[in-house]
Amino acid sequence: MDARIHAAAGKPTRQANGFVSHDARDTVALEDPSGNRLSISAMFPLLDAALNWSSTPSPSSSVDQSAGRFVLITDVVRADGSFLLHHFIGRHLRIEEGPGWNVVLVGLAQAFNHYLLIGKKLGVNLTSYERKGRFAFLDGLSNVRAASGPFANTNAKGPTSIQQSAKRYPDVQNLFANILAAVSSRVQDGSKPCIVIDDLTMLLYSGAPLVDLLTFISSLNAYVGQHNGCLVVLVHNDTSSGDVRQAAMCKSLSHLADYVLEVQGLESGATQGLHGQLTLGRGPPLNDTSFSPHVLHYRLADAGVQFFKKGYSTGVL
Amino acid sequence: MPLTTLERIINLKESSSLIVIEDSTKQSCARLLKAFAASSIGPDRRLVVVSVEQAYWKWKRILNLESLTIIDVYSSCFSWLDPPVAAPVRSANIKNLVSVIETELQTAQNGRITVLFDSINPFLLRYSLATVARLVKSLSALGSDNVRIILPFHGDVPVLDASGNSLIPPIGSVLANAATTYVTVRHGKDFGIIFGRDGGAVDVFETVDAHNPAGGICEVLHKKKSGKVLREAVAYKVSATDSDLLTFHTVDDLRSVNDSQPSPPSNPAERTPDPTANLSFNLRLTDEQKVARAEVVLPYMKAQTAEGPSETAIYYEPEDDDYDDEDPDADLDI
Repeated sequence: MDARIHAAAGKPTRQANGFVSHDARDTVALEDPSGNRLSISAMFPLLDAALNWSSTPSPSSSVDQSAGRFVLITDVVRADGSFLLHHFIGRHLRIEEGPGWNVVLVGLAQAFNHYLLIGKKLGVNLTSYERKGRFAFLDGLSNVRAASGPFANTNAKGPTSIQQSAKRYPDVQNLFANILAAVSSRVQDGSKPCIVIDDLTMLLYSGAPLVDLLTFISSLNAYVGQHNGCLVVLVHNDTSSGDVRQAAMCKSLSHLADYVLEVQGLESGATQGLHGQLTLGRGPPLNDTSFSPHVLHYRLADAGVQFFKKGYSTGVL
Repeated sequence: MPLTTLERIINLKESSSLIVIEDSTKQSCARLLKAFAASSIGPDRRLVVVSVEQAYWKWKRILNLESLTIIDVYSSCFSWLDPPVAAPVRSANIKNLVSVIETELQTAQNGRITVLFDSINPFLLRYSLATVARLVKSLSALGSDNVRIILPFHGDVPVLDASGNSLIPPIGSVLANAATTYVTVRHGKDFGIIFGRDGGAVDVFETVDAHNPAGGICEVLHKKKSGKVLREAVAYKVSATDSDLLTFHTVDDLRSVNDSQPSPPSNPAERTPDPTANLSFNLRLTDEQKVARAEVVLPYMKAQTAEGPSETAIYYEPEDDDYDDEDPDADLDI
């Protein structure tokens, strides 16, 4: 569907870097060609513009900017960053050109119903995509204490050894094998894998060794790099908690990531019209020079998110 | 202009056997490593790349160089992906890494060899500090006038011991001890320098200062063979026309360039802006008001301007305890 970014007041101007800037007090909504408001049609278009990704890739564009990228989302207790995951899930499911994308969501923080209901509000029916074989959900939350579901060892020929069953933490290597099993069949047909992990810190809290988690992400990163896929990982980064393992994980992942999306509360405290700020940072491996890092404010609504340039929302002005 | 020490080291004009590069998420050293790699290839020069943090093919794509030897530690130690079959690389793990490098060095005895790591942080996560320190020590023993080892590491990642506490001493000091050259890569903002891309306008109020690909600052500490220690802060800039080309400048040079960028206005009226212009209220005085203001006699002005005697005197009456008959140095026993 041909949707375009529309500003409620003032004309949007597209800058050289592709980022759409708006006059003061502008909010972004979508309109279809007949002028009907479609606040959900392209998920969060401003986020795509801010990442310098085209929101609706045309059939002629052979290169999708999200291909081969690792997006790291960090959040804090005061500002939850999981709303961004829905953008990446929806965005890649909607791309129909060519063999399309195959999305695997590893749910470690929420059950499937949570993602399903939010997806419905945003206009993405996950069950229908699941039926088409383009979406797979791995329920990590229910199985985190058992060697079942995504943590089950599918390659085991005999009964699990005593050493394996004695592990008191989730086996991340089995999870890795199961994720690959979920995407590989369609990847062989030419579809690109999009692997979304919500959230990695849960595994750290469950006792998985830090080195295993970093190997896990690094291997997934290499896998999506090989197959032009996209890896999206959410981690918590509460520096005030004094958890050194969490800090070490966050920093190590930031060195591998192409984009680091940092969700934080407002620096100045809280205000009525805003829920937090999103810092779009450049990771060291990113070679896209047209992407310029910046900060956006956001406001969560029932069916979508509004992004504002810093200091330009009605809640601040 | 004389070359900076860093340039001399990169271009092999100054020998340094173990070069340690510390970077952070704020400014990555990848660009600098690329410069090291590019200068290590040529006649009588050979480059051996050790991939530890990233898959070898990713690393190869970043360097974009043809004739290099790759030693792949990543696939065997830090990845669960099956290593690609018939990959044009040599595989190694932490135990045999030194011997594999040694064999590579022996196969090419002539010329100058650079052994370039991508990062040693994965070692620090998996193995104890003692193991890594031993590895660094044996690597530094391999270095010589003709062999240089480049070890980058991320200084901002906490290194934990087995019980999950931060390591003391920090790995940085262990490496600094062994290194002949220690380079810390910093963001330009730390030095008040802003690198813009393509010479275009730069938003100085940009709040995100994570990894500027246009340039950065290197703090270099180089120990010469003679024992002399050189320190310098050098800025590297990516050329606007050729992204593979790095230019080096001293920090002072760039500061003066940055300072001179906003050219002073030629019109003297513009130079002294009128603060009372464009106000919603009136701060200006009419001529009459100025005269009236000048006529107001201020209090105490009379005392300040009144003419009196040109000399003043202070009268002082000495008191009894001002003088002391005792010798103040009596107790010194001179």
